[in-house]
Amino acid sequence: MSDSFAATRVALGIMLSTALVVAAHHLWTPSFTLLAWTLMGVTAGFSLSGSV
Amino acid sequence: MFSIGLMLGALLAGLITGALGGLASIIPEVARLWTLASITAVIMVFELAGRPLSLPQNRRLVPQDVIPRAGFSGPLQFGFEMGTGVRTFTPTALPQLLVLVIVLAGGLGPGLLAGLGFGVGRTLMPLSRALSGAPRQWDTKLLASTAWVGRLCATGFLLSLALLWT
Repeated sequence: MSDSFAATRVALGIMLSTALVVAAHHLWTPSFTLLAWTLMGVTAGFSLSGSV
Repeated sequence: MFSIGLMLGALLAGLITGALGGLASIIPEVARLWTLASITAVIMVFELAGRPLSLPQNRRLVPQDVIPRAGFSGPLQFGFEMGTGVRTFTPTALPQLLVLVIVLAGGLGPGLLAGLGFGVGRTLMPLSRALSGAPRQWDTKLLASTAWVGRLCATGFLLSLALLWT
């Protein structure tokens, strides 16, 4: 099995991507609000991975 | 078809939740934000501790007999019902918190975007499972690390929530 796609790694990837967006928001532009709403949805959606 | 169903279901849920956000706008903003901050703090403490609060949920699965239906309709319906986040078990309280954030601080646009993201998040599960090349092992690893998946998702959720007010 390819460990790259393990749920913890995917969740870590989502979390780190969100952290990058937060950093980018502070460093370059304050226009990441729309992305923030989408990322909030992504994290909530993936958190249901243990259910069917 | 299953993934398209997931996305459609999530978008519909986002649309309905976003519309409710419009109704909640009659409540003063200060009251809405303080309510949201308090509830978020409580839910996040439990999420990050790896013991999510058991909030009201449907606790009903999509019937398995939906899948074998002819053509595209079976997988589409199965995905759609799962995508709404209503007909499923929720091992974390993040979906309920997302609804609350949209209702108290969002609206139609944020609801649709969050719905889109929710669909993507749900789709990432079957996608990463299939890409792993060993779905059964993927399931075993997920079951062994459910608490960490929840913690990481909660941290991501908190970061994106902070982005709205910074």
